[in-house]
This record gives sequence, structure tokens and C-alpha cells, in this order.
Amino acid sequence: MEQRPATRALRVGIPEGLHMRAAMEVAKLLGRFKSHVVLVKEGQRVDGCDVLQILSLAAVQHEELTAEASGDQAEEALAALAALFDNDFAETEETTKEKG
Amino acid sequence: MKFADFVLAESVQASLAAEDKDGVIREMVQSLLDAGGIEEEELESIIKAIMKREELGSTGIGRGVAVPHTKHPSVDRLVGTVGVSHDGVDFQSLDGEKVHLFFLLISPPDRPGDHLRALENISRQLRDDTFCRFLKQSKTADDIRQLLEEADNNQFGS
Repeated sequence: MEQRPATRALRVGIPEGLHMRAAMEVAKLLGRFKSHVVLVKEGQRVDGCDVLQILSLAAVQHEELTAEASGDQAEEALAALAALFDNDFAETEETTKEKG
Repeated sequence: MKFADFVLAESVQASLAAEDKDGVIREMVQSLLDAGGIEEEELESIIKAIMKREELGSTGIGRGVAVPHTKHPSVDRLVGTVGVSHDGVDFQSLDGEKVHLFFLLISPPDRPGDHLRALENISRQLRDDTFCRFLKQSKTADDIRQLLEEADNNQFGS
């Protein structure tokens, strides 16, 4: 029997909204997990590993999304994703380095 | 937001001549200047800002598409242009593929929502393979303008 997906509420904190670099960070992060993650905004469902699909959400600051993860590493993927949102997408080694 | 809300029709280019990243960005910003979308004295500053954004990570998002962009205080509304490179340009894209379709955006620093809505429109249309194929096959600026108009009339995308 298939398990129900694990879910996590996410809130866009940055003034720019879920812009391109943030969307790329999300896709890159989720690509590291075996779990399949779907992002949902007001009924619109997109693949969390697809930058174009994430951008088509046009999620502005303060908007809420739901992440649904299924398969192996679902909880790990959601925890990492929540941390990325909580840290305003700034915590990867690359961007930290670039911001100096 | 529709293409007509931010793409300067006179600036679109069906066959970009540049063969590298810097050249494509310069060619497209120049086309915005020629179409009256930006001020001449801001040209170099805008090109520099777009290149700086590229240094943070390529805006080549895969599928042969790149969306170079920047915020810039010299524009009071979002302006953009579309360019097609038939040979393709190495843009250090996510998937390593050459880029054929370019959407360049310059937005006022205080209007992040407009920028996001333009990205939403572009990404929604690009998810449609027919739109991408037709855009790539465009031979003239008129072909591109017609295609963008059709997209604005919901003839592509989901």
C-alpha cells in the first residue's frame, strides 16, 4: 500500500519572493534526495526539482506553500527544504561565499 | 502579466549575432536602448549589473533557455526583450546545453512582484514544447512578435 506523502508548510520570507536564484537553490537541494517533492500553492502543484515549474508559482513574499514529499528520504528532504526557506535561501556554501 | 506588458516589441531579435555570453547580453541591452527602453548613459551600467548577476550563478535554466536579468534604478517600469540564437551560446547553463532562447529583464528595484510575474509568464510559456519550438524556429522579429502575441492570447501553455 502506498504511504501518504509527508507534508510541510513553507513561507516565503524574502522581499524578492521565490525568484530565480531561490528557485534554483530549491531544485538543486531537492535533487540531492531520493524523495519526490511536490510544491503546492493554492492548488497549483509543481515538481520541486524543476526550476521552470517553481517559477511558474510566482510566490511573493509572505506567501505560503505546502511541500509534499513521498518515497525514501521524504522527511529528510522536507527538513532540508524548510531550513532553506527559514534561512532565506542564503545558507548554501556558494551563496554565502559570494555574499562575502 | 503578459509579454506585451514588458517586452518592447521593437527590441526583439530573431537572430542574435553574438557568440558568447557577454556578447549576447550586450547585444540584447543595446536592442533595448535602440527601442527606447533605456537611457544611453545607463547602457554600460546595466550590462555590468546583468553580468554581475550572472556571476552569482548562470540564469541559463536548462532546455536551451536563459533569463539574464537585473534590478536597475534607471528604469521606472519592467522592460524586457527576447532574442533567439540559432547556433546557440554557451551560457554555463544548469544542464550544460547551449542556449538558444533568451529573455532579458530589467526591473525597478522596488517592484519585485512585477519581476516575479514576468518570470511566471515566461516559465509558464516555456513549459509548452510547441511555444519553445516555434520560438526557436523564428526567422524574423515579426515571427517572434506574432508568437508572443499568440502566447498572450493563451494559445500556448497550461
